Amino acid sequence: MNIAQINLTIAQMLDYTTPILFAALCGVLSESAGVVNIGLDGIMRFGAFFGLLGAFFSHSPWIGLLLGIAVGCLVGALHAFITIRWNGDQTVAGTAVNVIAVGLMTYLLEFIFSTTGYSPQIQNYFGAQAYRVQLPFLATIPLLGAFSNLSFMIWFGFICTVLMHVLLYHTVLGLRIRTCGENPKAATTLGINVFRVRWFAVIAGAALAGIGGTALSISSFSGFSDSMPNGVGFIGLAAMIFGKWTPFGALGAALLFGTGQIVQSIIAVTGIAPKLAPGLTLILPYVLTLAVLAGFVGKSIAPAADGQPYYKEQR
Amino acid sequence: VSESNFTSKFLKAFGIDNQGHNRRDPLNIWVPLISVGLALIVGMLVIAASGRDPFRAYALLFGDSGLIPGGASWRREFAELLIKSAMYIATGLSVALAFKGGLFNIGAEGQFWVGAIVATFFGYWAPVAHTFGAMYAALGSLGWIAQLLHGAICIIMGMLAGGAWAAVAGYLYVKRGVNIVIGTIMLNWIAWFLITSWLVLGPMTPPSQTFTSGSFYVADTAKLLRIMMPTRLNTSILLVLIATYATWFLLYKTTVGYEIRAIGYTANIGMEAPRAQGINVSRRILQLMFFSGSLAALGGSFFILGLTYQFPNTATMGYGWTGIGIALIGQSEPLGVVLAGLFIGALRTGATSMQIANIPKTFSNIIEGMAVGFIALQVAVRYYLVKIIQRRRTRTNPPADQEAAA
Repeated sequence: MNIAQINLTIAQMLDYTTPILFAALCGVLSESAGVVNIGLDGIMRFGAFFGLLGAFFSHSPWIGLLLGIAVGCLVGALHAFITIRWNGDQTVAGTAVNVIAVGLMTYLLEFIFSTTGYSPQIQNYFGAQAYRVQLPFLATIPLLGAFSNLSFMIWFGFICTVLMHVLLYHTVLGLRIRTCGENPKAATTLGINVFRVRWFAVIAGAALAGIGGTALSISSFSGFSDSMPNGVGFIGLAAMIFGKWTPFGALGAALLFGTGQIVQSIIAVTGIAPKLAPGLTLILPYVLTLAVLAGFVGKSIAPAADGQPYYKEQR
Repeated sequence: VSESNFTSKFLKAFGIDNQGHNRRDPLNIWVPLISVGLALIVGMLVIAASGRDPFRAYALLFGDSGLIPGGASWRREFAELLIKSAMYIATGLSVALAFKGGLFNIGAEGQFWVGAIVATFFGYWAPVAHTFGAMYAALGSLGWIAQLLHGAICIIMGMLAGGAWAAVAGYLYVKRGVNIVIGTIMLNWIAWFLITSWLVLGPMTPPSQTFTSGSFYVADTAKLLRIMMPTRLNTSILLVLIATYATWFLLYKTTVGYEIRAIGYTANIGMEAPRAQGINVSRRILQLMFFSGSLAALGGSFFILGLTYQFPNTATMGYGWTGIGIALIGQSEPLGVVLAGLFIGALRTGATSMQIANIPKTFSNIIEGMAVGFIALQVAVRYYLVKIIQRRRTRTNPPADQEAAA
């Protein structure tokens, strides 16, 4: 394995990491405010399809990204309407989003593109050379060279992680969000409008999941496939837990799980343990997450009011 | 903006707890019916918005669903409806039973596939298959006994494995405090990848075959008997009805069931009451998860022993997710689950015909998802229902009467 190969592998790993990272950030924001969003896999599917749709018809991935964000916000608003406005069960609402996404996207794929299984491939996507972020001064440095020619979405993922960290831990709004997730009653006592904060967190989080979907269809790949997101949303959910509900933790977990996704190709290239079953590497994220939750490896604890509907004036 | 607390006031006024459960509430039966009705209407709008004829599409959907007798292909469609429903009812019962104990078993999917793979294994594994093959030959006209026994062993082993798989999540919840939703989701994917990316790609495939061929085929003695020739309808629907009765009996006629329901009613408020009554909550939750998982695994064994006869390489997820929808539409009551399962089975059967009208068969997912969404919105559905009822009353009765009644 020479430097070029290592760089290529790192870049490939980052490609896998980005959708997981966005999904995990969605979970972090939403659950910090106390709303479980199990539908983020479905929102990613929405984002992936509409992202491609925008990029396909406008020949610009930027329009695709915007459309992905918009549809993410819309589905997020639906989730918020059910779970915050009407105190519906958050897991049930999320399941509904997932199931609808499966049916509706297949329907739209056949309706708009008259194809089954795959959308047409596009030329103008974030993974294309013209849309990559060029940092030539890094190219000759070992390891950092991998960062010299990355898709915009990968950098956007890193930026969002930092922004989310600042938002949650260094702003008043972030403090309010976390209060709503830990103790909504105390938040109300302090004059915080729990409902409004939760609406914001859910919609902003869903927008991130929508971006995660576009990172699949118009960045890692250059088209939408009917199997998308193929459980990436659930890996994101696992990454959120493994990262202990923090943005940087989510980044670390997403990097780890992204690596897990390409271990197979690393093995193929290096020839280490060719007999290792692919199933055993794919279950890694989920096993690690269970281990962390169960306290076998560290301990990951959810926000105290996570998943609980909030009723004003209830004792 | 003043966010009013009308929902909690409303809930209190109607004696409904946070989850919206109240067994005596006459609206209970209307919520799933209205949800499904609204979902069907939204489905029509989706079809109409894409420039197709919703009435023709629904005529195809329900005409070929197997629900309406008559027509040349009705027997086949009816058989398909029952075959599909048997699997969905099994996963639906699994989720419903867990709901009764206050647990959201979102892992019926994984338990379904664990049951399927274990049933496959005992279907083809030489020591078992040869024994029953020899027995079948020796018994002659009584060969069905060998078929019955081999099928039973496959199903029971599958159910034990599926139950154990679910009990892992139960154990992690009880002993380690791992949220049951998260635990079962993780176990879903662990099961799925272990099976489809490992077992079916190597250890359980015939060596001469390519890796896309799926697992070994089960022996003839392991296959479920067909009960309505020439269709492929098999005994799975009868078995699932027995399972439904067993679930109902467990819930409403046994001490264990009573304790499970007691835990379920108080799941939101710490389960102190059942603990104070001396119920071993941890143990009951473990048992509940085991029962729940074995019901989902029953569906998985139907999939193998009644339909594919091997673990196919083309298996796709969805049975467990559908089971969640069915449990919700069926309001977690065994009878309701059967009705909801038949409805979804009919939708899935008829959806294949909708392809004539250029509508992909995943259309039924839209209806299902919408129905689940409206059930999640049940507080709103109930709120507007009560409003409508009250408006009717004030219209028919003079207001003075109402005051007197209050």
